[in-house]
Amino acid sequence: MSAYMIILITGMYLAVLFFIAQWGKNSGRAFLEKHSAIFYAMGICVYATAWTFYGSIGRAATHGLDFLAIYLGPILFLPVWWTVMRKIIRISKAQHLNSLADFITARYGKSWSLALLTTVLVVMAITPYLALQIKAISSSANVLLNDATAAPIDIDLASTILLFVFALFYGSRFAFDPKQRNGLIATIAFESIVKVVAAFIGGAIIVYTYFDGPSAIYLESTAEGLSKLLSVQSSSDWMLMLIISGFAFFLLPRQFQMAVVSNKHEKDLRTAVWLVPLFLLLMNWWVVPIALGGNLRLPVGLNPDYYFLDLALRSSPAMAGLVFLGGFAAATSMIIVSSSALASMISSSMIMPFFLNNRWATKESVTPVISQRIGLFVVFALAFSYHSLIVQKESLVSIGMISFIGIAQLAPGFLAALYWRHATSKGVFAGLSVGFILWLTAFGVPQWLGSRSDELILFNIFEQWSPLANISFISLGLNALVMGGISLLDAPSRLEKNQAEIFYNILNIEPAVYDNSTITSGKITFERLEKLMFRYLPDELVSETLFKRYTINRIKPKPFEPVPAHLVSYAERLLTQMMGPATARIALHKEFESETIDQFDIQDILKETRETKQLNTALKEKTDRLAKLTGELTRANDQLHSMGKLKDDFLYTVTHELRSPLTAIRAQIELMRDDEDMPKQIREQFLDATIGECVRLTALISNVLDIEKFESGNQQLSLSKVDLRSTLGTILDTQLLVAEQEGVSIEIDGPENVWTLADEKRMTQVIINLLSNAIKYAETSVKVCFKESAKNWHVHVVDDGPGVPKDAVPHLFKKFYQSNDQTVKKRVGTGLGLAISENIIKAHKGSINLTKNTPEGNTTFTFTISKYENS
Amino acid sequence: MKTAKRILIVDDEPNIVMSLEYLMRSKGLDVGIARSGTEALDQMELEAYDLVLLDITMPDLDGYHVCQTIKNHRVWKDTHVVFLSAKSKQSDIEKGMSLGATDYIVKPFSTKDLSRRILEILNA
Repeated sequence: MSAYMIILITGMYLAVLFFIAQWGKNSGRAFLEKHSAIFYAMGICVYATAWTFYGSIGRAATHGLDFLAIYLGPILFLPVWWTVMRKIIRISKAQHLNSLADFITARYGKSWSLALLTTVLVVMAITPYLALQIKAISSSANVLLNDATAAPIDIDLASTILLFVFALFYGSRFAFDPKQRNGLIATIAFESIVKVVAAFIGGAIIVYTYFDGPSAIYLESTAEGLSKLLSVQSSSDWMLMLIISGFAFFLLPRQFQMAVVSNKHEKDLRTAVWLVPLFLLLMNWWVVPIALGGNLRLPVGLNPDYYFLDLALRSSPAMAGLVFLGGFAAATSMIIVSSSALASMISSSMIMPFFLNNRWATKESVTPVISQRIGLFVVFALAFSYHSLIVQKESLVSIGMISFIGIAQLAPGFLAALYWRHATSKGVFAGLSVGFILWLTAFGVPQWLGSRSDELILFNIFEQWSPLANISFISLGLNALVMGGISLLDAPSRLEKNQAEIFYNILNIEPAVYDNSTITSGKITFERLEKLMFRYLPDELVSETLFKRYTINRIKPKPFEPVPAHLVSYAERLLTQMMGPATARIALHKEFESETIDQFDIQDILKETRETKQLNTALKEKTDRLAKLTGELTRANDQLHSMGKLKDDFLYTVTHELRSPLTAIRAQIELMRDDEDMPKQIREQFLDATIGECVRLTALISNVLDIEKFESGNQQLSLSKVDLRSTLGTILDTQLLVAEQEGVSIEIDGPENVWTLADEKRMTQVIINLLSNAIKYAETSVKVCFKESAKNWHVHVVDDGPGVPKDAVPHLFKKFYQSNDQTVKKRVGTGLGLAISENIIKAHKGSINLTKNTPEGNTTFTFTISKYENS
Repeated sequence: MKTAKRILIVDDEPNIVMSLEYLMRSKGLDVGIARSGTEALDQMELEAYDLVLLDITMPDLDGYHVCQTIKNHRVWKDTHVVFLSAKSKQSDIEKGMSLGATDYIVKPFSTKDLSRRILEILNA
């Protein structure tokens, strides 16, 4: 492949990266938000670098299966990783922490010296690793060139410069600009997909086209005596790599960037927990077949790291392009994320404090963004110098492993930050120093001087272990011991104690409570605070954050009045976002007029959280109960309302019904009084009428009282064994008389005795009501039928009248139903008779209904009552 | 010679009709009787009346309708209508008066008061 072709491919790929970053920053934001879990997981897959893409094969071709530990470590740690991450994410979001150094510094008293030590360690450990990625780019390009023609430009330098530019655009505002961060997340996710596609699909094509599938490769390898590559050679190394890789998965700066700072929703962790292992599995799926195949087919002397590319080159130019791009993606994604992480640390713990302590530094001379860019330049310069000056003979994996061991030195302090409240700044500083020095002596210095690490036999305590395992064990062990010992002897400062509580308890602290609590104190005026904020924060960020806070908390800033303490805390967090906790603290405290050192108490926050939670639960319960009560009240009110209306209607109707007889009585009596000459005949007529109206009044009043008794439930039945036949008999004479006057006959049908348990007086009332109604409406005949079923008597009262009008049927058993806003009396209107009858029958647990209603006659009212049982 | 004024008594309560008939006759009026709304309109067709003494709550057709029919009638519209009803709510009275009634008397009534008001209307 020609150099121009390679330049074209890489150039185009980088252009695509810029395009995707721009898309993620602008129009792709909604898409990113919708699929945030996928993008998040793909971002975390930045873990797989060129070291994975090329180095795993190299390691497998020479050392067998031990490369697997680097991926098994994180996978085994994933269940733990999830719970630990949740805590780290909460803490980092609450305290606006943006890097591993920030995290450790914030927990341990915001000590600047610890920030500096951490940064130096991380930079020393990661820079060779960064250089390794650049080396991978140039080496892979050289493989493609196949020494045919020399490249007209230095591909690794050109790539480095372009990546630096890219990082300047999208990495330098990573900490506080969500738009830039989106651009970066989109890019890294894209690169992850490129590398996994190249590794898995490219690998599959080579294994199945260039070779005859994996089993053929295994058979041939066994025949050629390569079967030792199917086992783990050094179990101590293997265990070590497993643990160290697990730590690295938490502690690598690029992992912190993608897993913590880039996290948008905590629930996205759930997707990452399965998607990341799947990704790592696919990345490594064809490593062993390709390593074996390379050993079988490729000429001796080729660097095994690039077997994949060599084989692809022998397949087809397109395959070579694909594999090259996969490796390029793996390298560039690591460079972009790691460089911005390192730059952030360098900026926070070196550049910002430096400028802060110089009086000549003004707003124009140094902002956090500029400082971050200087940091980026430093990182790229260091990495490229390392790459070009210290030409490595080491394989990709061993440089990576040394980096991992360096980073692992942060593990004791880091884990203690989360789970051990007694760890102190001095303890961690001492422990880390010990671990750092040991690592430096064993690997760091030799590595930076360009000598080989495994020639050092300085620390071989355990004979059977490899030097790597020995040094790792000793450095980490001493680190942890010193950290623990000194912490126990040391008395932590108040700030440290409080931060320890927050870190330890973060999952129990309500974010809102934390957000509004006072974590710092000291007096500062609004004028000075705003000046400070405008100096270090971009103008639009100040208005989006601080000024918004004013509005939310209804604060009216007066320039020379002190800022409320909780707002000072908020300002400190904003500054932390820009320059890390230690520097932010220095910057803010310099502006304090008087300082009352950290007089807040974290117990208050915890207490407040507990109280808020309790209050919330109590409130929720109360609200639920109130809602229920309100519903019940509304229903009761509606019921009362309609009952009230019914009552009003009833009263009005009763008074109306009372007025008619009273009117007649009064008129007649007045006439008799005033007219002395009234003829005797008329006088007697009037007197009879008066008596009749009095009887009517009495009946009405007793009916109304009956209804009231039944409806209020005060009616007591006096039950006895009653024969309804004989009950009917007692009233039949009177009714027959009325019927005769109306020209109506009465017929009775049914058994001799109709025994039931009832209140005889009440049942008489019911029968009279039904019978007199029937006589009133009948044309010629009325029939009373007693029918029997298993348990009940059914009493039918039938007349051959015209029937009940359809619209009256639903209201038949209502009191004075005809009076309901109507002024026309309906013929069926019996006032209270049917209403009382229904009440009586219901009190007997029976039923009463209009069972047949046809215009041709046979209008039937039926009541049902249970039979008398001899028990 | 002055002819006797004619009054139509409309009520479904026989005892009330009986007393009203006696009262009005004793005041020298000619009396017609109707026991429902429709009966009242039938009576109006048959003979001319000077005043209709009208109950409201009745079978078939209520007093409001009767009043409305009279007041909208080409010939009868000048006939006085006096409601005589047990409906005592202010809204009932207003409704009756709004339909063009000359007076509204609530049951139970004083015979003296009633005859005075009827005669006043008739002699006005």
